[in-house]
Amino acid sequence: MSSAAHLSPSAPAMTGAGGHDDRKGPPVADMARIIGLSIPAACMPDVVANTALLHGYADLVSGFALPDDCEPAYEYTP
Amino acid sequence: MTGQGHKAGAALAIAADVRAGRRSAVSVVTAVIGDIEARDTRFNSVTRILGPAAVAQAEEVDKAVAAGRDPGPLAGVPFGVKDLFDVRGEVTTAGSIVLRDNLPATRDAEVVERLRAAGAVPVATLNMDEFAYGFSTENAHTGTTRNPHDPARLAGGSSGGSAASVAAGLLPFTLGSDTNGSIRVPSSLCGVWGLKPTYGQMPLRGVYPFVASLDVVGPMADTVEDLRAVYGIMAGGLHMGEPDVGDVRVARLGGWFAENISPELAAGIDRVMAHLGHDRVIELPEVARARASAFLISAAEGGNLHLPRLRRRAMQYDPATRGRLMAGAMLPAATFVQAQRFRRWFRGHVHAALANADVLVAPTTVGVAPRIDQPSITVNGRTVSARANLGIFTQPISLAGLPVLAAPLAVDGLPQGIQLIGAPGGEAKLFAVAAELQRAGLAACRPIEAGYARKDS
Repeated sequence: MSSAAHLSPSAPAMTGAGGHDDRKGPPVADMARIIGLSIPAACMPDVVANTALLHGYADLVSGFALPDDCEPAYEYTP
Repeated sequence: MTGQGHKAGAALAIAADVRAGRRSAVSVVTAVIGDIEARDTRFNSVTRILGPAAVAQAEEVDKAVAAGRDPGPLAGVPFGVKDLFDVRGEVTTAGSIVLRDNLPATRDAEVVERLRAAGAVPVATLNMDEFAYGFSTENAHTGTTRNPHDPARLAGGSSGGSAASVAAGLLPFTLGSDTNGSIRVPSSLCGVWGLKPTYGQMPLRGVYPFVASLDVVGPMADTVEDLRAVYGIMAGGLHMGEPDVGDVRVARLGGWFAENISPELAAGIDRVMAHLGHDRVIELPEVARARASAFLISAAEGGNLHLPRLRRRAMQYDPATRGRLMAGAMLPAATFVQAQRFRRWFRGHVHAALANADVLVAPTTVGVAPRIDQPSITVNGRTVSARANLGIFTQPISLAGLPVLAAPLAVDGLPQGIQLIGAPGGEAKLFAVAAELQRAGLAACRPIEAGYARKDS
């Protein structure tokens, strides 16, 4: 699992450091603020890239219709 | 590959010699430590040598032998642990400087405790990706572990030090952890045997966590016999009754697991299936989504685990880990819950597949170990990061929590490996198939120089 090149579903383009100006992808700076995380400027490009990667995977999983009675596997027994 | 594996099991052979008084445990342990000091500069598999404590324990083993007491089934056998297992008296770093100021562990991890009680002697901690978040064992703090079969290549990860030290012949067995493939990937690339037991089977007390939903610990070794013996002790003295391999229904995984693999690896799997006399192919549904779910669950749980430290001292983290953990910590709850619900769905379909086969055969990686200076692989015609994608065949199986025995194919050239995947609790059938592949010469670990086997110590 990496921060750089990846095999993943298409993700929204990520152009900047997040925040209100970044309308093409997840608002990374805002998302970080919500959980009390301050992202150093030097780290922002990598965090943005990884957020885009995860959102691509999220789109893939969310695009699959699950029955309402399919419960989360928190207490998982193989 | 050069050198020979030990058909009887190197660890068991050492124990037999120590128990019979043919070798002393102290001589074995001191020789292994000397060997690590002399040769591991080429591989960087070891992060710490536990010299005084190891010699002290070896002395106790020798005293037990001299007094006629039972020194245990692994008497005097040296082993190493990935640097996320607690070893009493040592700080558990999980491959990071972030934890270096923690107090030393006051007791061993439970599985280490069990092995020590069986007479085995921990002699080293082993390199890993920081916090086990990677498939390459490239670590900004402790360096890159090199593949003993070609030091210009990656060992794989995250239990890269555990695999490389066995492949180099520095240690007869080691412990690793596997969340998304971290035992299986390095086992394959270094050509050693490895076991990811059924999720939930092994005690995790004293093991630094990564992803609670997926974490498993297991052994890596140079023979099926050693792997079986160590696994049994780790599992609390489990004695498996193995079935006749002829009674084990084997099938090959198709679809996702048949794509992108090297011709040599495909031919190796062909030989395995032909030898076992099975030609059934099974396809699991929605494997890409299964992999994605494992990826998302890992990111979310790993990110949440580290969030308090990321808020205060993010810059201490390995740059290759930090961005992933931060992104994971911010993952929306809806995404995490959907991935966990998908896991439940996938479980049902995996169980349906396992109604038709006891053991599923699949590749572990797409091919041989990538070069360190060109860390990429080809997937669907695209050149992609090896670090990100070495686990494309292991992550979907992790999501299901199935036991997997990583078998090193007996090939000319660089190692390649396969996964023998079982039903939950089906480890005995995996060992039956693995033992047959080893017996037939289709799978083998070939340490480059087994220093621990020398009897001049």
